[in-house]
Amino acid sequence: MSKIDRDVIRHLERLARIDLTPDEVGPITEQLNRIVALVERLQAVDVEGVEPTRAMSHGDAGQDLRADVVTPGLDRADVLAEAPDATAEFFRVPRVISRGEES
Amino acid sequence: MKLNELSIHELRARMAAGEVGPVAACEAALAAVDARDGAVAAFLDVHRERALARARALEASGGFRALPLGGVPVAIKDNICIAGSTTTCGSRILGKYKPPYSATVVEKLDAAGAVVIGKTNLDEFAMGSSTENSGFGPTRNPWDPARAPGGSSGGSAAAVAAGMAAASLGSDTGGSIRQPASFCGVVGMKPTYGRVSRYGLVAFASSLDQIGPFTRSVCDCALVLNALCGRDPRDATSASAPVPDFTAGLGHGLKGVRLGVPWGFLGEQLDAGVRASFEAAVAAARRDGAVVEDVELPHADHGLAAYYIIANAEASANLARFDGVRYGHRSPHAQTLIDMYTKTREEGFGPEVKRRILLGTYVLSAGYYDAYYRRAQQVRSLIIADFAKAFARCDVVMLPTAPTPAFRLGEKTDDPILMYLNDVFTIPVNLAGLPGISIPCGFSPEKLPIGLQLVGRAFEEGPLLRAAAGIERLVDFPAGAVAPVVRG
Repeated sequence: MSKIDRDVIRHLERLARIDLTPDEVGPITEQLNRIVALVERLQAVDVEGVEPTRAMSHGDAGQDLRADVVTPGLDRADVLAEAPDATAEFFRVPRVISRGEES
Repeated sequence: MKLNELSIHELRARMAAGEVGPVAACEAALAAVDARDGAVAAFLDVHRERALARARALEASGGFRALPLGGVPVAIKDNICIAGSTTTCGSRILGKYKPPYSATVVEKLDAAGAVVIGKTNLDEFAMGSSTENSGFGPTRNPWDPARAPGGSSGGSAAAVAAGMAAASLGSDTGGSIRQPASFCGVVGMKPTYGRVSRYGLVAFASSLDQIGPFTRSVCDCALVLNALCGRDPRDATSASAPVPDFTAGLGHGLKGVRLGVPWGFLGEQLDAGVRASFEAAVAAARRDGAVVEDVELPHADHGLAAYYIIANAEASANLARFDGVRYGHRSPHAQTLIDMYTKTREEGFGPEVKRRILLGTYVLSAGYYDAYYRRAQQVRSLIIADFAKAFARCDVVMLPTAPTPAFRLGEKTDDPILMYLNDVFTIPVNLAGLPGISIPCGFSPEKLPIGLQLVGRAFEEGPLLRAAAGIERLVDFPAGAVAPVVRG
């Protein structure tokens, strides 16, 4: 398997929408390589013909669907009250479209 | 004995006799928090006024007498939502978040008459085995303040061990209830996957997470479990299996109970004190009439590797919701939306959470999915089959909870792999979705508690608790012991 280097970390940061601080990059790169070496041991297990367990369930759990009727959700004002920035009806976020794209 | 040190069973008996009421019980718990939590730091938030008001209301109505947990002071791990109360998950990214709803387990404890006295500390988003990854500082072990209480539910374990609550709730994804129970000398149970609703538990790894109780006795564990279980339409993974009275038959003893011990799995990783204590408990169980069988779990050794792929893959998806849009922290240093996501997450998450999200992202990324994620799911199937084979020969599997007693604070923080090895005996149980319980079984030469773990068949918490109660009476650990709490 490939080693996790600075380029891989940069790629993962982008995929996960996380920036590591300059102090974190070194130790986390080193630790991730050691953890990947640990999980690589699974390559030695004979899994030929074994079905993967994709979801955990015993018995009927997850099969018992409720009736398709509208039930009350959370109160909008209560939910928006916890948002870092909101209008009376919406979450507010920084500009998504740059000015050049506006018509 | 002080009111705050009584078991739930004894406290309820005194209430039934009219000797004490919910207010006295609540005041005793809060006084213990005042006297002891400065040294332990189990609580992130103490609900003093709310708890007293609730206790007074229960006492005034007299309704507490008919309720199974009427007037019992309990603490809740801070990744379980209580409407209007700060819920941090031990993370700076949630900050002062106050959820507008309560978890089903909180509503159920409420309906059973329990009095919530506060929220307890944890490793950030339940990721850790020592409670040192909390964004708000570590919790200390009440038996030795220089040592970790275990984790991730370290605050909940320490609160019960130190007599600050009669019971508490934790969550267990790879051992986060059972390992701290072992380190703190209390009983901790992870019920069967699907037994207890997770609505209102902040998700870490959805195919593994389960909520369960900490108590100072097996009987108390059964009492709390009675209140928690059952199908919940708000959690599609909860099961509609019938919920029996888990306190039934706890005095039956071990005669004829088949205990399976996976000696081959215990291997070299066991501390000598833990091994001696475990072997003494096995011998005592045999003398008491249990049939001890040697069972094999040939793939359990690979549980740790499979877990760190599956749990972190799921975590990387679950924690995507912390993006600064709807709740908690938002970076003030961002101009664009993408910038806001990345800076918010850079500032809000601690190093262990970042490490795990990046690992989960890696194993799910293009080109690696089959080699890591799919293979881990196949190994998970092999571990499930191992347990099925073992349960053909025994009723309950018995093994240590953790390879060592409580380690020193700071001892393992620089080496994540050393930290992960704490969970080698508990992780396979989560991967197989089975119920597991840790009970105290003795002390190490340094006078630290040691726990042993029992694992049952899916939805057979009843036989599991009966075996645990049988062993609890035999082991070299004072029943219902409260930790001494000495200042470090």
